[in-house]
Amino acid sequence: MSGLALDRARIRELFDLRSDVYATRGGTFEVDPYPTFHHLRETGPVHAGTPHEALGWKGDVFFQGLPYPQRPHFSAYDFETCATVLKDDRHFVTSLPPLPGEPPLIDAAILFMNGRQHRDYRTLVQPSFVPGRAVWWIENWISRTVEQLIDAFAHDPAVDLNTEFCAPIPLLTITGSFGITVEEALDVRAAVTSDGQGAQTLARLLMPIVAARRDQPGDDLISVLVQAEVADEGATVHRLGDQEVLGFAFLLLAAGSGTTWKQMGITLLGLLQHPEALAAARADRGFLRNVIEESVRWTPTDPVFARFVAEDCELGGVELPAGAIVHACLAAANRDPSRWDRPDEFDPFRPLKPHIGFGHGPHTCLGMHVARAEMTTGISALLDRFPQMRLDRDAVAPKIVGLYERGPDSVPVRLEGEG
Amino acid sequence: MAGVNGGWVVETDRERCIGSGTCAFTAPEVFDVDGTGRVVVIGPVTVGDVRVREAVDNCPMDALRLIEGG
Repeated sequence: MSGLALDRARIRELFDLRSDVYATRGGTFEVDPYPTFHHLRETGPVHAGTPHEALGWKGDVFFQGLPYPQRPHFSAYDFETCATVLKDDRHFVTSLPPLPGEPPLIDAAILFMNGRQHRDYRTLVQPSFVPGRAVWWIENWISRTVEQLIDAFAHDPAVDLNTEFCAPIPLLTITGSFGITVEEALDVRAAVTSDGQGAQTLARLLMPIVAARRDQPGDDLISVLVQAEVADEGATVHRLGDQEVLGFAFLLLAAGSGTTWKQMGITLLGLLQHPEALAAARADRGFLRNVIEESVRWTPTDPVFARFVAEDCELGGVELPAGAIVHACLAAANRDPSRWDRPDEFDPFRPLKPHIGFGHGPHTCLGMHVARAEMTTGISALLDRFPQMRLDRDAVAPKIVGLYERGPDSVPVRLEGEG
Repeated sequence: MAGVNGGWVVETDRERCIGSGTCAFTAPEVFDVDGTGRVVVIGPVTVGDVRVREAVDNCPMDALRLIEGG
């Protein structure tokens, strides 16, 4: 019935926020963090310490800007301060030379580059990720994946969309765009979620594809990467070497295969729990734009991003020493009451207003337009195929969990009939 | 560089632009990102268009400037 050879049990294991895979992101954190965020914003704008300490989380954390125990940590929770931290790349950078005992920089990844180098390397892939390229993603990978996944459960009375739908769409889209087979896609996911230990697995899977595309380029992302040319400091132009291609690939696969899974789940839950919004989306698919933007404002899956302080400076009346880390809590910023009325409400009918759920500044989410295309295509297809789709009240009530990566533990729906 | 006849003009700084496409998403009839990953103005800028103002205000790189002619 399905053209997809996916191991469903393994998907459930890999895409379970409460599992060991997500332990170091605070995956088992189940408290609503927003009341604390509001309190911190009101008593801020800048606090000493990390967001997870403020939330009372005692576990080990491995995330961007964490743990770095030798450095002083600060955090910000209002819109203006967070936007400043993410945008002012003279004072706030994504990496500094490591202190003794800190891990070496991963210099092949644009996530950790700054200034001119970041811009030059991001430019290599940016044209594949602009709004005008969404159709390329939809026609080549997203639509087919969405239809095949729906075919697999279309005759079931009920399904958990979190694992059967939201998780595989972004994974198969980004791996498909790399020329990785469906059979190997789950190996890729396991490799990129293993706290940096999966590089060898990824190299084994990707190097044959890289070599093949160097011989014969195709219409995919690896071909874009192997043909890309970048100028060195001495202005010599060179093509990306294998390690640079792998560095890029690692970041794109990690970022592309996890975030949209959780954000699509959050969006679907918001929609299914608000019947008037669901009805509006059924009547007008264009309304999904508002639904998705409101979802990313209301509960962005990655609630915090950190920057290193490049030189002594003042932020929100607090002196920050060079070398410190400041955590911009964009989830809290997106509920700043000075910018949004009733900020805790999921209300897709509110006027569209720019949020920073996809970040801000030079490291603004590269894949945000692809993520939007995946969510729009996926949710639109569900509404087309299942006019009666609604939350499954017989299932355990779904809950949004997690600390530095947030998403629903399930999205249980009934597909047919009246509830 | 002021807007002609009281019109609006958007100045683009293609050296700062990283091509995030924030403007092209916000006001697609006015902005696009070209094949080199930089912003281009593709359509007329209408006086009072709130989406143009939003695109300018929300540029993650401050690479857009709205000049309101008088």
